[in-house]
Amino acid sequence: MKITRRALFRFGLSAGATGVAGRFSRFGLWNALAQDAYDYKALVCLFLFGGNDSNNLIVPLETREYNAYKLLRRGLALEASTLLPVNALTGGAAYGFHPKLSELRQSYVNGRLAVVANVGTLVAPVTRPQYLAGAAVPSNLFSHLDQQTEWQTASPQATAATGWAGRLADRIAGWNAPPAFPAFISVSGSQILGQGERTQPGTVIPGRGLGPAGFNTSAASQARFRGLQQILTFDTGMTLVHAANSILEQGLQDDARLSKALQGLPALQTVFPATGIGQQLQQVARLIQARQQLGMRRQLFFASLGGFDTHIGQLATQESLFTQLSTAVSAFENATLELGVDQQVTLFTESDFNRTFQPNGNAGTDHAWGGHHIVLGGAVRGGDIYGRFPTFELGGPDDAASEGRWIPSVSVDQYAATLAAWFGVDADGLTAVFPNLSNFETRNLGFLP
Amino acid sequence: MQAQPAVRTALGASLALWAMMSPGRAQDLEPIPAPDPSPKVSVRAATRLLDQATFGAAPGAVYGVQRLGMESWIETQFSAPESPISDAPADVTNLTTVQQEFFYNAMNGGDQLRQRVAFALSKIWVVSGARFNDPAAIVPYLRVLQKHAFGNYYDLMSEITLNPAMGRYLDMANNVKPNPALGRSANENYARELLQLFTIGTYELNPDGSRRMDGQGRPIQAYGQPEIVGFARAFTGWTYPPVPGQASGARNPVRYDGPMVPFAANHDTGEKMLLGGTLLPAGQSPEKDLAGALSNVFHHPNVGPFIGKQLIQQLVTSNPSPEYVSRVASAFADNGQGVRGDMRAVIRAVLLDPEARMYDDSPPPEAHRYGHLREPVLLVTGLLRRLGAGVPRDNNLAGYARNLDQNVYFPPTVFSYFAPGYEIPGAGALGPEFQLLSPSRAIARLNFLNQLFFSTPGGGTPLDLSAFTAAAREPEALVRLVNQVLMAGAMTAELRQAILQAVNATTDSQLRAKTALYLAAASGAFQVVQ
Repeated sequence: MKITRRALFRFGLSAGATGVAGRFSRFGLWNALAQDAYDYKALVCLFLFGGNDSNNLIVPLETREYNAYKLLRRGLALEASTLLPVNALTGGAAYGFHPKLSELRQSYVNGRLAVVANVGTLVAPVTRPQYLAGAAVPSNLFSHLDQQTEWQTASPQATAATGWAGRLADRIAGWNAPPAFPAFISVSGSQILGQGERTQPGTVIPGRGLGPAGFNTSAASQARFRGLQQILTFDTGMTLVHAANSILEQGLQDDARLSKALQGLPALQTVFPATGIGQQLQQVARLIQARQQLGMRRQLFFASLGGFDTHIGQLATQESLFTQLSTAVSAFENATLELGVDQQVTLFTESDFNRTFQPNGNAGTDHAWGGHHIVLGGAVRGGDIYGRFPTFELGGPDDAASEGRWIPSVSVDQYAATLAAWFGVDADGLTAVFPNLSNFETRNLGFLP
Repeated sequence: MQAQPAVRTALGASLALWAMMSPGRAQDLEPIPAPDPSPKVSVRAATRLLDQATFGAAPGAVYGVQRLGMESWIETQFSAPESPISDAPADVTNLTTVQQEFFYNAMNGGDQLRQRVAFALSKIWVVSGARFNDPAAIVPYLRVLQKHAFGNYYDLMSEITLNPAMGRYLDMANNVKPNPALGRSANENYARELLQLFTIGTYELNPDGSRRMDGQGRPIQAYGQPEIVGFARAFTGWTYPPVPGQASGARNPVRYDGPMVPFAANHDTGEKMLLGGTLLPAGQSPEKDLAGALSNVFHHPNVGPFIGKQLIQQLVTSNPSPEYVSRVASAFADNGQGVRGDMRAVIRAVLLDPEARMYDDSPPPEAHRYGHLREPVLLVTGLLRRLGAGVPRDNNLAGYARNLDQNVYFPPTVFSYFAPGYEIPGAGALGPEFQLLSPSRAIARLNFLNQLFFSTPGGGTPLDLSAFTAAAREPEALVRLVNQVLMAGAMTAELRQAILQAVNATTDSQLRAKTALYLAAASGAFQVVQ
């Protein structure tokens, strides 16, 4: 936080220093920034679509907790001997990572990965009695689409037009060089997470060529391209037509800038797995590689892995998904080391929700609420567990119902605000980006400096 | 429907010329009728209806609507013979041939309205090749959608609920009763998505589709976790159809050639809570509980506005007025003869509503949120049908749509390709299909047009552009023809001018034709159906 505040003051961007900011034109400000050592930070959201059963991502190995786990999870319980053991830095308690997460476990041991326990959508802290008595809770709990959206908007009750990363990008818009390349890039389709009041998220399709195909330097081709650009600017007053044209126009601009920025950059040495998530994270690494060419000092990225809606046959499905997750994230970590930005890039997970602790009759689990998440990067105060594991008791103090649907003990706001504070947003900015943050006592969970 | 006669004649003549000069189109299933000398419906109005009710306004289809009038055309479509949905050849174990047949029927089938409604239903009642890329599973499911597209919504609910592909996709197959001794619950997957996605949604609705509010102005949840558990338990005790010649067991092996069957011992016979405080009494059979549960859902007042609005969005416009939704919901509630859930009544209400027809004769006023973005499938078929492309059975149109993020019958999740509530960022309007239009996918759409017009289209899609090339000797005539074929004459002056300017940069007739078609199809005015 100390460095951040100083940086903010120097760049004249904090809320209280508008007088300083006023002395710089946008270019002047950029030039002032450029004289410093290259200040850069990136946040990478890895969304686990479908609702990851994080009850099996990391399991307490202390006898009492593990026995409760084994008893209640029945056929879905992972054997203690197969779990990959670690200890929490704070308190020393033993935990085990899922057997297919060996790379992530290694990052944890190396002090570069932290686990945040029982995170979920919340309006304010809530206990089981309060929940059962009808306290304010997020809308449409247990529904995929709603909970995905609420994780991305940090707006658990109202329909939000913006995502928290988009609002974050709004706050730091002046830190990147004009003309602005999108501060938020999704390599997994349109996502509300990156939509700001002013920030328009960009997208890149991993492995695809950039820009429109089929144009050349002939007069006819050039005329056709000019015609295309001209057509996209026509305002017919029709909302949907205008939107379609604007989106294409943005795509053409972003791709043109990116193509130019990537010219001459060497290929990454790090080998990524040939999986969807592997390719996505490789694309993110490639975009980070072009950060200086693009004039970016702060970037946000979105990647995703789907298939976590394990209502049936969970063990086999999750093994496959966790293998993909662990190998791809590990390659990404290596790429940040290769690029020398491992201290400046932090990857974190989000997911619709955790799943019921109690299995259903199909060796699967159903939709639940609070779950465990991972944060990875050189800056992370890793090798530790943040937050509190729920008490493994059906209908117990942390259960919203009777099947082990954990009431979160950490809110999405607290989790994301900790990331945002590291990213460089001051206290006022955090309050603006996360309107419900003030409902929680702890504003920073401490897993990042 | 009151087009200027002069305009009508000019467009009609031009289309007739175009239709005669496009020998590439498939003529086996849908012969081109001759233009009617005194049409009941203008070209523009017929084109609009066809964009809403079919896979695209092929010239022949325009004449059909003009000759019959809209009401009669719809009734004719109701009785048109169904395009076949074939079993895959024995050696094909993925959905390739199913996708090819989908596009073949979409391009050439005479039962366009049924195909289009069935396609809309496939995006509501989702199963996906992403879970099982298996024609044996998907083909029977598609037949159910097609069969009930013009039937009753309750019959659709009943038959899909027992369809084994759905049973497998959302885990109702082999969903067994809770067992406290073994510490396991009933599977909630089908129960939750049936309510949330296929019938009523998460909030209580007014007949006009708006949310009902409680005394403090907060929306009212349509159900809670107790109801989900109630339905999950009501749906226990069903398994795959038995192997022919063998006795049915508790957990029959996966097969798709018939409805799922009950296995009573796996059914939860306790009392269950349903919607609106209704209780299913204890001690009932799986069949009786299933019928009771589905009937409880079907009669919930949300179904009309919830499904009606989605059908409007799929066929006509992303942002219907509450009054429009209300009129469609009312047709769902009662077809005029006291029948609830009559799909024909709903479809008539969607397509013949004054709001669906209000721009038949003039472009919408400014700053309007009318229409909807062509989703990838409809972009591909809408363009190719207009251009009279002869699409054979072994086509690769699925590849085009896949590149644009819509792999037919492979929706990524049960939430389909796009959500009905998706808001276009910053536009203050709903635009479900825009969820697939990221900036980079918008460029992919350009690249589809490039492939279509400037490279040799793969997958056997012969496109005969000789009519356009012939017209291109005179750029004005070319742009006029493109305007008529792609936009039913609705091109703005500035768009016409921009295309003309690009066309004039070359004297090569073929290049001129391709340039004009590329630019017109790339424009938002074509990408959005208005």
